[in-house]
Amino acid sequence: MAKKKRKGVFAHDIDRLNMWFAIIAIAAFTSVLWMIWDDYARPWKAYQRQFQVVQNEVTQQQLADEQARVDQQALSQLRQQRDAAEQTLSGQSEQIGGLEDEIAAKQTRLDLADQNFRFSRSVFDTRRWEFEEARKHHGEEGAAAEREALDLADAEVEQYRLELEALTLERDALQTQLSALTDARDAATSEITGMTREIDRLQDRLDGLRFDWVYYLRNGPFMDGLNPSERINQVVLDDIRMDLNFTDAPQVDRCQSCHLGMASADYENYDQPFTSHPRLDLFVADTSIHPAGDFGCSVCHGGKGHATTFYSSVHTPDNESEEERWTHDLGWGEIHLWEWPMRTSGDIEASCVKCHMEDPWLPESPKLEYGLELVENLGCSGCHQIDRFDDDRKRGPDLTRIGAKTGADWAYNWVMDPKSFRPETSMPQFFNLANTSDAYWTGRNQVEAEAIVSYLFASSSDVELDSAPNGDIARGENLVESVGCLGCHMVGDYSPATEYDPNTARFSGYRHHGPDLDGVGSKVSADWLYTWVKDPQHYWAETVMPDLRLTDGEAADITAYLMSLTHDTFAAATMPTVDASLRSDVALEYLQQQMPTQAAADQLAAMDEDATKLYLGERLIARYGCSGCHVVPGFEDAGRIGTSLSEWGSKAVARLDFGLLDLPHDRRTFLEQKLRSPRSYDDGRERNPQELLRMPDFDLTAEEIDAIAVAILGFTDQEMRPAAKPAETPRRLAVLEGQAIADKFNCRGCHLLEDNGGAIRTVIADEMVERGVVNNATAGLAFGPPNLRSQGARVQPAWLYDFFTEPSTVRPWLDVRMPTFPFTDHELNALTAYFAALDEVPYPFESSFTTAHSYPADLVSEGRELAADQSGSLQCFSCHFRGTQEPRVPPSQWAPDLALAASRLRPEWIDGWIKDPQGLQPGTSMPQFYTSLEAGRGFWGPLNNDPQAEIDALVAYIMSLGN
Amino acid sequence: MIDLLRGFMNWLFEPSIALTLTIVAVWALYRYRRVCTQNKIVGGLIVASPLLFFFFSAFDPNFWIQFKRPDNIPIAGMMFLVVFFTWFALKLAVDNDDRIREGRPPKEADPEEEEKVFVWPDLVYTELLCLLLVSILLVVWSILIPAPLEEPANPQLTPNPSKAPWYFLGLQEILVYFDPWLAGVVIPTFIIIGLMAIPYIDTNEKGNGYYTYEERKSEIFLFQFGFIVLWVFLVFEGTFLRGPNWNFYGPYEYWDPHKLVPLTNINLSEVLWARWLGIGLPSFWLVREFVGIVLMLLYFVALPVWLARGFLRRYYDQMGLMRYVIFSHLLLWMVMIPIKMYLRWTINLKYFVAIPELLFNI
Amino acid sequence: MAEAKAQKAAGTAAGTGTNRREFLASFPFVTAAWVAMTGALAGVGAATLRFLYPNVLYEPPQQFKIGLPTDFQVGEVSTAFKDRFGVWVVRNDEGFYALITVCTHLGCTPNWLATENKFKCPCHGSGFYSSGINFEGPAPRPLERAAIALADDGQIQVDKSQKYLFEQGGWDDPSSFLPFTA
Repeated sequence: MAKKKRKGVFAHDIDRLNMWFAIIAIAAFTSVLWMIWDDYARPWKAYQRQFQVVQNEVTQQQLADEQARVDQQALSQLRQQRDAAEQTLSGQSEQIGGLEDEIAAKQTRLDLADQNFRFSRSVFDTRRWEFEEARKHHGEEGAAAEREALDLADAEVEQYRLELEALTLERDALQTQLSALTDARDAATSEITGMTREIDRLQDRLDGLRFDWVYYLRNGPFMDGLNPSERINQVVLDDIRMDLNFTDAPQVDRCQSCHLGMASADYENYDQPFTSHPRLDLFVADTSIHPAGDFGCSVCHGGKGHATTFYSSVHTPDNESEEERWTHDLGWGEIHLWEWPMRTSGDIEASCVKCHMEDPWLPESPKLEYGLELVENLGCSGCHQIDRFDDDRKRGPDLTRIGAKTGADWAYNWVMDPKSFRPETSMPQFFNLANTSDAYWTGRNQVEAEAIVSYLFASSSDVELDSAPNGDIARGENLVESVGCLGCHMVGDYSPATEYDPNTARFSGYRHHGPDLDGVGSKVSADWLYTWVKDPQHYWAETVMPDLRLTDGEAADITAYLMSLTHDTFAAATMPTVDASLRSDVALEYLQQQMPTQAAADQLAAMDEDATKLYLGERLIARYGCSGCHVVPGFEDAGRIGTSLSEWGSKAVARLDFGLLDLPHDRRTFLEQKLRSPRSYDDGRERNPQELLRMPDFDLTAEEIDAIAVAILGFTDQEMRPAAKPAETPRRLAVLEGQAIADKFNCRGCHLLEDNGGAIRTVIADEMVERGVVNNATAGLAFGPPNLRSQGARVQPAWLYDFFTEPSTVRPWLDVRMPTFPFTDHELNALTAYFAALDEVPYPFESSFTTAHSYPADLVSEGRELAADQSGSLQCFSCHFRGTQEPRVPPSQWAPDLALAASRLRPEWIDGWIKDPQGLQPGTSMPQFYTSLEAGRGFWGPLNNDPQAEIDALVAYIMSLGN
Repeated sequence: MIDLLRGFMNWLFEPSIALTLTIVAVWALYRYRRVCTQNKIVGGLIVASPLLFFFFSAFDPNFWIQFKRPDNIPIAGMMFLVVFFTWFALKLAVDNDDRIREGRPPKEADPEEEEKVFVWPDLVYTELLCLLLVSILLVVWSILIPAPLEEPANPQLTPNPSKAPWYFLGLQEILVYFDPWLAGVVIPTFIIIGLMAIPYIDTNEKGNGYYTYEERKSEIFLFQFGFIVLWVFLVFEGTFLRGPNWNFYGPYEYWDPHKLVPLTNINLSEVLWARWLGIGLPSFWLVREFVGIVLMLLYFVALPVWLARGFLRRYYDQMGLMRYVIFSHLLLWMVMIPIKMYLRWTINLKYFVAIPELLFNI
Repeated sequence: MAEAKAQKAAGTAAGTGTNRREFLASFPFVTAAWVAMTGALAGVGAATLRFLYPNVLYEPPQQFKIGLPTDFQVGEVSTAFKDRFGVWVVRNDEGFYALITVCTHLGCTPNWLATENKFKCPCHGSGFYSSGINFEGPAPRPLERAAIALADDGQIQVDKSQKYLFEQGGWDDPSSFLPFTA
């Protein structure tokens, strides 16, 4: 193209350049507009606009409801009245105007007088101070001038005060005149306002929700810097810190910029992001336990709290269909660079752990509670260190004297496959798993199991056992089903012949605290069982199994019954013949870990068969970490073989080894796969035996895996400041400690404690129906262990302590008996304090207990008459035991001996009990004698029919009974 | 079929092969400069090659993951710009060389080709337009491709891979082959000093103010070797071909962090004493590293002298002793880099001289 | 040729040439360009000014709830929210109002002297009645009131972002006072 050469003036084609300039300038302008728009049009503003529409809807509905509710007739009547009054007033407008003018003039003078008064008073204060100072320094005479000035000022004050008073009176008089005229109208108006207050409020609200020009101006581009109504809503939380590794900063949560309806119950029917938050009594609302103003949102939900768009907040979809919808409609994508994505709805309870680490019971987070219970019961902390369970004792039984309990054949078959003997056991399977199932390993598993068993039996110490006398099986069965064994054990609920359903979640009851007793006859010897049942601590000092205080006869019967429960395959269990050369190879393999090849071979040659087995057994026990759950002789100081889980929820995903499995890379998936099949991460890998994964398989159901995953995901390294956690009051600490002890000894297996538990009650109720003692199961419940609600307020701590150390009979009609538990002194103190702390009653001493208190004799005798077996009286002993005298009513309504009360019960509790038994113990048979406490509503003449006096008399009588 | 192509490309981009190819390509561009710059098809292919490469590679999912990162996009842009301007400068140089050969002055000096413009309004006007254009580009870029932000820095967890900013990727690469003292301090210093020294050691008066190649062959080639091969290519490699654990990954290879590559490098002294002679390494470093030290002395001291008499005689004569010493020194350091790289790739050589007692390795 | 070029250079619309040339010559490109560029610069300037007004501030919240009306006694001046939120909450026979704890003289924080029934500023001695009216000292105008209303859950909600000034008639605005009779 020929170039235009312009000599002299311009060198370029200026017109062309002008055109380009225009084009580029317009492009620049457009890009600036685009930039401004991109910055202004934030997605959260759209949500806020949408929400205003929603608010309009809701408010309109509320307004309509309110208008329907208001008595329109009365309202229109009032309006008429008011209008009539107005009419009258308009007729008097001159008069009113005159009065108002007068009042205004009076007010002006009054204000002036007021000012004068106050100024004069200031002057007076000053003069007084001057006078006092003068008197102090110069004495009475020297302060004479100041005295004069003071008096003058005082007089002036008085003068102005009187003036002010007079004016005020005059003004008030005028005001009264005016009010007399306007009274009717004012009264009507205020009544109308009272009736329409809510309507007015809602109407105002509606007005504020209009999309008028003011709205668009306030929230328009540039103008929205001044005072927009659409704004970011944030909470700055000083007590909840965002961990930035080198420092931390207050957490800032801006979720409420879009989630505008979450704090109010009005939006339950709307979709996200406006829907109300569930459980507003617990979360988010100002009056809840976790108000959003103090906790924010991300402490529970995770995610990036300070983000302001849907994408950057790192929301996590709950399932695949939600993920698809979000990806399509909302532009969702996974963000790898934020370590704390939001938890899914199913996992949300994991966040509770960081503040509630010490709580044994978490009734508001059932899935988490279940998961933690599983982690504890399955003994995870035997191999993996977990802070929460650091102080727990070992999960499995003590093996130091195993030889006295069972035989090597049984032990071998058990170790190979525990669930084939006991489907509900928490002992996992170590052999024949995903990475040890091929032909080689089938033989090697036998070698290993045999070696382990040999070691255990060779190192077992002796224990003296009583020889079991013959017992009656039927009587034994009766005892087992009634005396209380079934609060912690299960018998017969699964017979060995029926298939165990692998889909039912286990550990959901308290009756798995002790092992299932089906098949126990094929495991232990009668002598052992007899010795054990009579005194568990003789065989195992650390057992939590209590002493049922059985007589020898009872023990013999129980032993006979339990020994009759045999297992079809384990009854004739045998150990297979193990390949000796394979055993030698395996032993050599282990020897070579410790010494050079030649030395290893020499050592092996020097060991005979038994020595080889022992050597191998010891090495294998070390490898598989048996001493994590069991006390094993020779392994007293052995540590845990697994990785610590105390902060597993914070583990970097990049550090998780997914092996060759094709799985999405997140913690949850890793955990689920590991729990489902622990050794599957070895799939496809070439590993020599020493490098194989070792975690055993617990055969968990999907529900169990879900719960355990939630619990372990909750173990994070996030430290919460004390201000954010529940306050550690003495009450709370006492309650937590008591709950832990109750868990350890499985109180809830028998008792309802804090309204949960009582597993044995239905068993006993059914038993009572079966025996024909009662007609229906509900009545049968009366034969179960008592509900321990309000036990702290009920009993005296000293009595409770005595009861724990040596249980006495409170309810003679029960077959089930409170066992003697092996509490330590510390546990006894903590347990008694727990009950008192729960009910917030004084502990341990109270002056109203009998030792310090005595009741007036006449009150006692009135009480005696009131309680006596005569018509017109309460006839307490028709239900209550009197010494050993049985009550008249059927056994399902019997009540404890009243003579126990003096040493056992707190008098204030008796008072409360008589007034409202159902409130203290729902379902009790005790009748409610007093429905009202008003004077005259009683029925005992000598006490003037005063209910409180009658109750006082009863209390006095009852508390005096034992003495 | 596509897999074959992928495999081929992954093989082609291996550092040893790719570096060699880059050197060959630079040499070929200048050797066959006439074809490259004046043949429309060849020229067009050369200029379009980065675009074509990136365009077609973007269809590969593995490459796309890396390419779409906001901080890698400018690197791709840079590749195109480098290729384009190298070619364009060469084109202008070839034209000028033709003119000079014909006896005419170069274009820049030819009064008939005068392209003078006035500062006002022409130059300033066009500058304004360029200013606006660049501003528009930046605004649109920042709206469409927001700057990336990683998670809060965690001292317990180093990102994998951990890459330097692009202008240091070349140095990060040579850290694989050289001791940190050399790769991090000495060589960068020499780069800076070398660039500063160019006006003082360059005695070739030709090529001032106009493009030329034939009048400045070796100077241009030396510079392009240092720039394109040792800087731009290494930046490209560091951006797109180095992945987790600083392993090499082909452009279409998935960045598997579990990939394992044996890095079995061995020092010269170990080769000599342990493998060839079969005796243990002497404890005193002077004895142990004697051969390596001698080699280094030969390379840095004897070689320049020998070159002055032979290959670089012309330079020695032109520059004089002082300049020649600086020039040859810098040149030898520059060439040492590919030498070391090739020795590493072929015979797994780690260090010629390894004196950890003095923290000196080369 | 040179003449035509010169004419073109002068920017006049020559009648010669194609339509495109006519268009190129006649359309006011420069004007359009400068208008667009001014617009772009103005936009950038406005955006910069907008940038000076932050969208969020890490300050204590301007709207906050202070409890139920029954938590306050008639005639009480509550100093419970002075430190955290910077308001005094006063209840009289007719209802509630919230005074902002900033002296209208030069901005110090006055103290409530219950025995003398006044707010007294320690900086220069300004005094205010419990209603907020200034009566002594250098303060030129009464204390400012904050918007006060009943929230949906029955608690009193104060909004310091809405201020009501007596001298501007703000105290007549119903939002500055919460009527409440027990």
